[in-house]
Amino acid sequence: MNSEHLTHHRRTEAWLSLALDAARAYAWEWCCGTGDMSWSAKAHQLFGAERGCPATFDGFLERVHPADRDHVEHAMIAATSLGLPCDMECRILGDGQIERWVRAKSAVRTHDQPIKIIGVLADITALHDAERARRALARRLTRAHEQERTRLSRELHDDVSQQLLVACIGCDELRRQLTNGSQGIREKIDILSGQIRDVAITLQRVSHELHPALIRQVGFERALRALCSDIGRTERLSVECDFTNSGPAIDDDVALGLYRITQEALRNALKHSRAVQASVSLAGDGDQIALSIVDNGVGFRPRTRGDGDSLGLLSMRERARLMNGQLNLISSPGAGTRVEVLVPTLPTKMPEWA
Amino acid sequence: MRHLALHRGAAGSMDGGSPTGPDRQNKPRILLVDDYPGLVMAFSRVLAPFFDIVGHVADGAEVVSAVSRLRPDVVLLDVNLPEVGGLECCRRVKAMRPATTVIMLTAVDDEAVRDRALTLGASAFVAKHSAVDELVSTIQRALTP
Repeated sequence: MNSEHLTHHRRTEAWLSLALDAARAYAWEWCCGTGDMSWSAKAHQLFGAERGCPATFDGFLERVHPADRDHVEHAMIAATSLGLPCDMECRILGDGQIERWVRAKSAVRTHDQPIKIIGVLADITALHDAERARRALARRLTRAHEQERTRLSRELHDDVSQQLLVACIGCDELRRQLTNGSQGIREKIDILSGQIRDVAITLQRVSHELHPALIRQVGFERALRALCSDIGRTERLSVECDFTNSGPAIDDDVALGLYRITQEALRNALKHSRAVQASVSLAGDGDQIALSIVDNGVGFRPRTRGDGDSLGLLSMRERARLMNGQLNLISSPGAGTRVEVLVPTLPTKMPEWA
Repeated sequence: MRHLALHRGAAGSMDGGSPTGPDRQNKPRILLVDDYPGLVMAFSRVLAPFFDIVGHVADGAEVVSAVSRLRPDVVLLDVNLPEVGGLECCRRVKAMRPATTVIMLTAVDDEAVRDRALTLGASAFVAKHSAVDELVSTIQRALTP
């Protein structure tokens, strides 16, 4: 190697070192034949190992979070036996058993068979913390949103619309007290009474949309069926229901979450997909409930990983997550939209930070 | 703001226009169940010429004991009560005293609620925004053997 090459080599090494530092990434290498492993000095620090302490795969595996160990071991077996590269996330229990999230990326050098694996572990703990904080915030926002809707709904139902109903009854009383010769006034009272009634009915509908008390009154399935038939009656969307035993007991929050997702999906089918037909299916096995809402509208190209979703889609995803469930959105231009949700019937309570 | 303080949980007789004396004995006895006092008073006023309003209850949990004590012919029951809902009250009343006629009152005329109420033994289902004549005739029809 001439001096020019040496300079270039040193410069590249310096850049690599800077890049690893900037990315909080730690290098390692594993020789498939001998099983020998080497860690960079910084990797020793990450693992809480003394400098000079021999680096072994078992030593590495011991420092992987117990819940992620099988996953990591399988990835390494796939790399050493099949030469497959790896790109995964796992937790490392470093110095003082402090948990760090790392992204493990490796490549395999082969010569007929895998001979060496080189890799880096990038510390992504800050990213995970930020994601957890984002989820916790989304969870609180969803809860606050629901509480506010409930409050508004009660205000409208318990106060404003009841006062209007009292006014209606007052009009009826007034009308009864009129003498026979007051036909003109009677008609005016009837018109006034009708107008007040219409406002009261509209307010009750708004109140019901804000918070579906129907779930508590008649149960989740009936309430969902009523939502579908209401939309079918008032909008140009024919909604079919196919409910197959959603299980005997559905948690109240799960019921409300699934109701809201259905409401949002049908609203999107009408507003954005311009669908004329939709179907809502609900099936449960006691442990899990599967909900799907399918429309025959214009469809769209969903964004990957939910980035850039509209507020409605984001809210559906967050609601599914809030129930410890999953939501899949399947759509393409011209081919309608399918929203699939799978949630546990009785979700274990998620901690605030999760 | 909710106006529950005046009557919540209380089952008492109404004196707002309710007739007294022998007339009362000939009129069907009605127990009103609604958590909005303004509406209870308004219903009491307009129904008093036709029925004997024996009491009112604002809390679903009090309905069964009020029925047991006041022995009304008809319970006019709001669907949307806090805590113990109107449909559950209907079930309890019919289970305890099947001869009592239960008429559900609702702010939203919903088919699912209507079906459920009738299944639970309610005799009729009336929207709160119905005209007084309709309410009176519904009660009278429900009482006709």
